[in-house]
Amino acid sequence: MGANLIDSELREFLERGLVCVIGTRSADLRPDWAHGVGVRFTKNRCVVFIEQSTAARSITNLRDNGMIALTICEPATHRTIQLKGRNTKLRELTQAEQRLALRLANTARHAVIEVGIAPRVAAGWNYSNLVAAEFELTGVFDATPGPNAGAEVA
Amino acid sequence: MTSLRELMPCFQGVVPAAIVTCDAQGTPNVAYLSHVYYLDDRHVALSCQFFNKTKRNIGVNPYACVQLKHPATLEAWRLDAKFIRAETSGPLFDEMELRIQAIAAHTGMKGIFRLLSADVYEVLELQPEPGFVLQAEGDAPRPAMDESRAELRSLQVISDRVVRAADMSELLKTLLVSLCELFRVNHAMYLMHDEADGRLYAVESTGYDSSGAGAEVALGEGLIGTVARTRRLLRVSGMGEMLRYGRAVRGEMQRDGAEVTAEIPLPGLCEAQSQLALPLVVGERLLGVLALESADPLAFQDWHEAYLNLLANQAALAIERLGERADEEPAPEPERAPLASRRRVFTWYPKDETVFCDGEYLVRNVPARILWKLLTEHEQTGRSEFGNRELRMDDSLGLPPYKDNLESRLILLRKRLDERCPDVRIVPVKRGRFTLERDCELVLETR
Repeated sequence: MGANLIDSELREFLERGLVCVIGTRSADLRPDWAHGVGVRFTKNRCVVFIEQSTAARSITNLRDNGMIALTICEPATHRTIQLKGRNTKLRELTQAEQRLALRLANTARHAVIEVGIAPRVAAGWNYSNLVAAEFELTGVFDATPGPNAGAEVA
Repeated sequence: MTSLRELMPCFQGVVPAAIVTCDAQGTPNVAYLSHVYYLDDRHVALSCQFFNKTKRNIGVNPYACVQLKHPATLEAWRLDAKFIRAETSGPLFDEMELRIQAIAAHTGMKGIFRLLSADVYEVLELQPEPGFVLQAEGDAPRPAMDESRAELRSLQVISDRVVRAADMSELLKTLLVSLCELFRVNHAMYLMHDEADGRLYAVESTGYDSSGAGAEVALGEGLIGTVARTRRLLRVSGMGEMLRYGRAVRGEMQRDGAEVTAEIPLPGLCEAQSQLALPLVVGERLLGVLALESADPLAFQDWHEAYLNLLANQAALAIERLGERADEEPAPEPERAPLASRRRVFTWYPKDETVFCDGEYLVRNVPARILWKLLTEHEQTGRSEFGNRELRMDDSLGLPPYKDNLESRLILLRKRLDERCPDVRIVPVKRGRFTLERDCELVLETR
């Protein structure tokens, strides 16, 4: 599927820079998490920035099989969207992406401050060693807690 | 390896945890968890409210990876876990369901939002992820994870005060003030259970702007009502997170066509972030609910539950004992003070069993009937001293024949008068007796 199937409201939500958790799996189907910041859509691809300091296993998993899932969550409302993808390619961030990631990380920090996390704690949230993960989007799902969680939205 | 026991603050549900699973085709899935429950040093239980992708995945591939975060520091832990079993009844299920029931009761989803299963996982590996949060230079050392402490001495002091209290008013005041001292919280209240109408009424409180006396909670309504209905202690840390989660589910349920009801306003602090509510039970009887509140999301720890349970049991026995006290003989009628020139109009609405003072609601039900009796007798005969015994003998007041909570009802009435009409007072003179004092002219009318 292409990112063009995502409507403008949903795209704005996903690209705002909210709390992002990444899921991967190993060759023997053992899952793992990493934390990231994102996302940005291109014509057929999607890119998310993964913090490498706590993602050694997930980085290995992505190099091994390229399968990725990630949630974008707005803490104040619990609205959550999950993206799924394949053929993930890891690469360094461009300079423009470095600036973008910095901005998105700050938005994510503000989102958790809004729900009571102390600003000095949120300031310590580490996004200092990012790698870009570019993948082919295969599905977009509603992951907001409730009876509709898991429903495909695009 | 870090011990699961050292991560207790992470199990309070203040910061949502995340779980990653994977299906048989190798597609990973990320989901947020409403509650990760500590079982023992090798097991956790995850609450499952919906039959979702996570549930389907662990049915074909039992391995999961959980992200846990410390609520104060955001430090993260990676738990590699393996699904063992799903419990749909029993003590673990009941314990986890109580929290879900409280969310449902508070956010208008009673009966439609419930726990499907408590999913038990074996923790295969537990790794701290120190790089998740960077510690700034000059940061104070992070708090120790093990918060359990022995406070036996303080508990003994409260216990002594409670059992020695001479009357109900002293007992409740002592209990609430001592609890606040011991647990370093500022807000506590006691709600009496009225067996006649099955509701709870706030009788005594400490730390609030107003006493809240007379505030009502129905059984099963909100957190306090859930504790009363299930007769089980409930601790909620990170109330803000719990309510945000509940509201998100409620919104989704509404979109799905479920009939949800209005959210129940919490009695007490509107900015409360933690609440601990305990039922006071003797035998099969629910006497009331003790509720502690704090603006700190981590005010209550595991050890508080055990200690408070002991104390609640003792307080319940003391309340029961004071309720059974024989009334003492009447004292001579005191001299009446001269009346001031003020005037207070009391209105009795028999249909609603409500008393208004100067056009404003004062009190209802049994306390209203008691007040009306006192006022009319005082007006007709000039009497100002009354005894508990005669109230108990008066069928028109509708007191239950056994275990009537009369002392608690009189405390409630006294507090309502203190707040709404300080010119008329109920003043205890000795055990089982009180006087009706007034500094104003009384006008009584029935509508």
